[in-house]
Amino acid sequence: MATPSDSLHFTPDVLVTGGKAFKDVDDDVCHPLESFPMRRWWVCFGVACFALLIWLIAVTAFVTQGQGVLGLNQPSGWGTDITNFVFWVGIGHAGTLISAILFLFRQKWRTAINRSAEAMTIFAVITALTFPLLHTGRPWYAAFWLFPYPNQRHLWVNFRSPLLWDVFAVSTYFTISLVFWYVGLIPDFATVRDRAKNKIRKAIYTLLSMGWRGSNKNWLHYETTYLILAGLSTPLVLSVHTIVSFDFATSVIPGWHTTIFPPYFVAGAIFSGFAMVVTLLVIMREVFNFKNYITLGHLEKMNKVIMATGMMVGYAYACEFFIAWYSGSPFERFTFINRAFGPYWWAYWTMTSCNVIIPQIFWFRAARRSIPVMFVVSLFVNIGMWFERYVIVVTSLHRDFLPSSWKYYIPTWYDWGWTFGSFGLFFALFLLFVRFFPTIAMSEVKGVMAQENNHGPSGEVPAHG
Amino acid sequence: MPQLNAIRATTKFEVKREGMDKHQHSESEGNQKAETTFVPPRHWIGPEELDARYWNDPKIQEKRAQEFYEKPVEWLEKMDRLDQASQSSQQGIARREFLTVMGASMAMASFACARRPVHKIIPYVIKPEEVTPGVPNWYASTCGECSVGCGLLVKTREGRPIKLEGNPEHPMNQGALCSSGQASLLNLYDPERLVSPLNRIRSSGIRKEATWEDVDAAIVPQLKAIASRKGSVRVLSGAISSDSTRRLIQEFLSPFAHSKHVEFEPLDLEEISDSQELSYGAAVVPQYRFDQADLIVSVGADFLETWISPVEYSRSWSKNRTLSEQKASHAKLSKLVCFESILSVTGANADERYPIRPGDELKVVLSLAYELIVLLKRSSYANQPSVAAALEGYAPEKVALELGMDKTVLKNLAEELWEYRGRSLVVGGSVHSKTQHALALQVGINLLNSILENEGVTVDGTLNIGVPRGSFAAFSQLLSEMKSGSVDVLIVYRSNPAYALPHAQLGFEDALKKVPLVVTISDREDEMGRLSDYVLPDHHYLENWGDAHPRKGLYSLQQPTLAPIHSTRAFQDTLLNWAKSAGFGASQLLGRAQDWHEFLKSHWKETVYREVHGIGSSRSSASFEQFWEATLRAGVLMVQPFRASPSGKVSARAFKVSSLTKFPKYSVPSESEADLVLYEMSGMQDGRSANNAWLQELPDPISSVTWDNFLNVGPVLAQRLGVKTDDVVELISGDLKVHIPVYVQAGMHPHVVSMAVGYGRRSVGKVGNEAGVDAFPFVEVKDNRLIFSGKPVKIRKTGKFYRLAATQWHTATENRPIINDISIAQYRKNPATANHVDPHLRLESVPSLWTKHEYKTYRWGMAIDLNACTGCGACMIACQAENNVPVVGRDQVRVSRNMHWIRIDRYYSGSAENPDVVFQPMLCQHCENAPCETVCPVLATVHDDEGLNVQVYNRCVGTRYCQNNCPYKVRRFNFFDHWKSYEGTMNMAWNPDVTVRTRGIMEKCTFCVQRIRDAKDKAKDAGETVRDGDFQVACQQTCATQAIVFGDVNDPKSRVSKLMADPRAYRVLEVVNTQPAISYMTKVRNKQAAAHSGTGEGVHE
Repeated sequence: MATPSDSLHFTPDVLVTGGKAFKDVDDDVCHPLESFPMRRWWVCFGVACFALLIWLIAVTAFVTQGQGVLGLNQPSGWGTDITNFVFWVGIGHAGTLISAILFLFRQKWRTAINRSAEAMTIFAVITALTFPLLHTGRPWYAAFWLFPYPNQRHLWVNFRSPLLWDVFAVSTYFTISLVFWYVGLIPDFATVRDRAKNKIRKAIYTLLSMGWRGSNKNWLHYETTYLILAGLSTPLVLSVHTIVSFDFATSVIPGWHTTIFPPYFVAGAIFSGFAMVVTLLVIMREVFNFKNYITLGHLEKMNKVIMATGMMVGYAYACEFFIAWYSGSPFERFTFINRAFGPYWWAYWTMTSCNVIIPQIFWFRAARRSIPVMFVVSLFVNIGMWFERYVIVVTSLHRDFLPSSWKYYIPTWYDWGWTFGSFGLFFALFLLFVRFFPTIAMSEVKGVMAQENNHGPSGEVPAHG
Repeated sequence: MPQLNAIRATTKFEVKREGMDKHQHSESEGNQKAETTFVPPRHWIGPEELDARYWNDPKIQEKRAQEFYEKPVEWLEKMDRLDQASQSSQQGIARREFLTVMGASMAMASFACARRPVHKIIPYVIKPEEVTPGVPNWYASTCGECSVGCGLLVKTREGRPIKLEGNPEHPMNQGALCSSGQASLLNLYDPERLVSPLNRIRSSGIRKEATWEDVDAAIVPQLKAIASRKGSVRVLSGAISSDSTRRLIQEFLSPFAHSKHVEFEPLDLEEISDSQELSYGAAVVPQYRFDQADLIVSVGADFLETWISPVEYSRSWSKNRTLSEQKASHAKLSKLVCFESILSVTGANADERYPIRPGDELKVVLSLAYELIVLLKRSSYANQPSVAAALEGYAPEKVALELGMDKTVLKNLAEELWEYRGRSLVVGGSVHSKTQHALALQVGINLLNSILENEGVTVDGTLNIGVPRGSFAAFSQLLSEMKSGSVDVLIVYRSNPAYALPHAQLGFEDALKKVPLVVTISDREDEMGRLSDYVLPDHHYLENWGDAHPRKGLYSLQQPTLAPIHSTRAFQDTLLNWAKSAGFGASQLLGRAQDWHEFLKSHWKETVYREVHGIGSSRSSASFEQFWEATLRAGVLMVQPFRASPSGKVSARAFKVSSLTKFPKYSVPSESEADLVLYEMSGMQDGRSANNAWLQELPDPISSVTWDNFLNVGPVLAQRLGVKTDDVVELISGDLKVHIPVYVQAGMHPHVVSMAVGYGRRSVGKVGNEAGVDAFPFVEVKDNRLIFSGKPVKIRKTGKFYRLAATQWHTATENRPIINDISIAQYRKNPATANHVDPHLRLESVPSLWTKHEYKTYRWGMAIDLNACTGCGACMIACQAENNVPVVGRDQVRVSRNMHWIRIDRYYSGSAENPDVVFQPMLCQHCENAPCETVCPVLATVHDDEGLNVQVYNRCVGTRYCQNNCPYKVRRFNFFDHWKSYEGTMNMAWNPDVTVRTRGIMEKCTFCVQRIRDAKDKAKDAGETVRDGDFQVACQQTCATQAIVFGDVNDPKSRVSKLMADPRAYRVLEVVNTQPAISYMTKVRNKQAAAHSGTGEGVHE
């Protein structure tokens, strides 16, 4: 239903198909919130809760008995714990990138996907945060001793430690992302509020919409706030994973002590984050019938980003090898040869094939626009990026300086339970989100729709947005 | 309302006013009372209140006008009034009263909820004079773990021993102690010790606890009956180093017509004394002087680890291995050449080592003699045809060919021995070389030492081990007596023939059935105890009196360091009690002495005291008391100098050529798949301390395997058999079959497999039961001797798999700057020669942006001499005992979670068939630029102002980042609450000066910060500073070879500073620029070929 005005639009693409009017947007987006949960939702939620239960069992086991139930050993003080942390923080990068950086660059195609991408960020960071907390030997102290609060014992934190930088980086990122997400939600909450027929529902969404009236002043403040927050978030997208990479880069361990880590980690984070967004959106547009909002055009753009960042990551892999050779350091050389051909060769080649080779299929337009292809590729990228962190964490540690301490690290069932269970935590939160929050930014979508369609069949002007 | 107002008016304040106004208190509803109509208060505190004058007193008035003046009387008055008010349907209570009552009830309620305060006091009703809480007491004693008799200092805190250290005054161990000795402390607190006597019914196996009275009442009449009917009593014991105990046994046995004391130790090297008798006429174990020898040839003698007196020999061997005080260009090192059928600690430290088959030891020795006597016609024996005849057939070329060596090896060695005659030493014959020719081997060694004029110099027959030792022959005689039913009573003391012998082969159990009364005196219900009528718990040696006579003229005392923990009784007291109750030995010391302590003292008075002060000298008993006190305090007494003279020369004994007839004719062994060698593993000995978790978890110095024994298979044989480490194989010898995991051990001869004895115990406790495989059934008995080695065996793969709990999987240094080992020639040329010339592995001067740490007082540092470290692992146990390092168990070791703060890394270089070995103690390096310190987010690991890298357990949250970032991987994480594995009495072994760590936190070597603290406190009390040598850290203290030196680096005169300035000093992974506080000293090998640079193919994990 392209109209002549489309050609005048800032973005040449058609962002919403199906000839939707503004009211249709409201109806479509609010439908999942207002209808009784579908059976499919319950099935998904049940699976997620089951995984969450496994997570709880694993976590309870090692919090009560000790970290020894995990596979950690003497050279490998970190294993799946930090692998999962970096993985989930990485996942969390796409949301803010889409909502902040693409916003600043006026990439209007972001509107259909930014809400769910941001939600994914929030939940991914929540999931990620559980790992550094629970990986400590005494989480009951770590939960507050890692914060510099004044206390009578004159105890202070170590500002030289990258782990402390993590605390600030991730918590700042989480706070800003949460506020950004919430601010973006306010006009949509108001829409839901106005549509609510149930008293309790109305009360809750009234509270959430913080008195939004849709007045010009509201909009003025909203737009300004949103812009400021986007500006604040943008450096965070780069800083968080840069700082997470410092956990490794500032250490002395060969394979960790690498200056390429910050850009490499950021690229990898965007790569994995976009892959996760694709995975989720492909499911969501199917389940909630959002095909007119999350179009193949959107997904194709995402796939282009995946391919680009995948190649950046591939470049980083190659560069690491080159530098290891070029440095002349026998430790570095050994570490990288060991990475590719040592006992963990399988992890390394899983990572390389998933992250570098498989996304190359997106050179083909048909593949970029094929739902099954992109779904499979995005899953592989997620697996590959998990292994990338595993390879970095484990292969560097299991054989470091003194050969006398070398030891193969084998995750136990608790490791796998914790890892698998973290997906349960993430998906349970995400499913609650799709059930209760508008998953597409209605107000923003309306802003990128063709103006002549903005009146409904009755010709009334929508109150908000 | 009026009532309400009235009540309002009765707040304390109001009442006080009223009281002040009216001087009395019994006023009712508002009517005034004249002063004359004084109504005494209903309730009064003192009788004065009943007098109107009291109330009129202005002082009293003023005082009572105070707001907070306590007036219980008034309060009660008020309550009365309120009662009246309530009667008039008026409820209520004054606000202040309400608050008072509430406050009190709250306080009481909260008191009731609070935990009753726990008062912990040290339960001394009358504090012993010498015990000050928090201050350790040291007692000199003698180690009772084995029969060597090293001197001990026992550190006790609040009346319990917590650490054993060698007695520095003792001439044998000179302050050092082996791993078994260190760990014997834990045996004292073993929760599975027998706590009271046991009475067993042998036929049914029913056991019940008994009292000592019951036991004595049951046994004494039997003994009496046996004595009266001229029955026979046998005491079977392990080797006893105590003369007085031996005398007590003799006196106990004297009333019986047929009685005998059989002393027998399964791993004892009786061939040595037997051969000495043959060769020199007296059955002694001579004193070997490794410090006088420049060339040492060990033919299967593991003298650095298990042979005779390993601590003493390690120290004396290391004297000629130190380079620090020599001029490099003329540096001298003794040379150690080893021929052995296993890779032992001694072999690992040898400059030249040759793997041989069991039985080849004799060929090596005789071919050397052949070369010297027959071919080179050296020495006075060259003219004696009988000597040449005895050596017939042992030509070195032939032997070398058969043994697969270069043919020049033996010839050159013979030449070299001749060159070093009088300054060389040939030793041989550990458990693993006890083949059927073990006696001949010793005779051959005696011959060599006599030819080489070592007799009287490096072999000293005058300062021999003076104690006569038993033999297997005596045991087998006992066995045949038992079988014939002629033994009425068997008393077994510290001997376990039901385990540590091929008992099935010998028919020991059956023989035992013919003994009517079997009494085992042991610390636990062991395998022997299970076959006895009575199992009587003995004191641990730290609870008992005793003495030792380890060398001629050398005595040491053993004293109790704590009251017996359980209802145990000393073996000696048991015998003494029985003898006295039965009325035996009235004329003997046994009858005169009240108890064992008195017996011991009297014995000393009669013997040692006389020896010291001359026979017949009329000293008063008071002076004996002084002598006794002084000896007890010193722990050791030398009647004659331990070393005859500085040159060490004593008169050489003449070699009896007649002993040479013992040599077998030269023969080539029959082809077999492999020969089995049984060996003694350090720590485990004959399995006596198999329930000691410290020893079980002490990695074997060679294989690094803990908790199990295994079959050592050389790489060539392993390939031929198609087995790998952890494969379970079936070891078959005749009817004997056993399943055992394989460990592929570099340096093993391709025709030899070996396994350690002392494992696979069946009744020792839950730590040691079924740990490993019992190797004793493979011991053979031939000619009244036990044969441990040379048995042909077959090996079959089972397809099963058993994960051995090793602590090190990778054995090559990968050519990293970890080890520096060079040859003596390289050292003479340039003492600072380094293996690592790659510029990327060397740290040139590095500019720093940061200011360095400032050390205003002390700066602690350590130097470790790789040339001296033998890898024995005593330091690991010393550290474990000192620093409360927990034991983690086999499964945790398998996943590399052992907690040892100091470990011994072992690297191989050269060929896997016969590698060069180097041991490297690795512990926290206390780096100047410590990578762990920067990464801890909560500042739990920090640098202190004396150079220590300190770990704050309380603060640690356990991120393990420090562990990851440590290039030396010396940090240890508490994956579980390992301390919980210390049960019951074991908790008494903790050192109260060191925190016991909980789970979830990181720990590591502290440089024994508690000892530093203690030394500084003592120095401060004396108004001084700590001087070099004022204290030693635990690992340094116990090191037999003094490989570890600790001290203040800020003091340029300290030993550690001097060593750090030595050209040999290097730091591990210097290129990482961590700047460790520990320097290692290059290992210098006394071999002509250039040392390997560590590029060997290691066994990969």
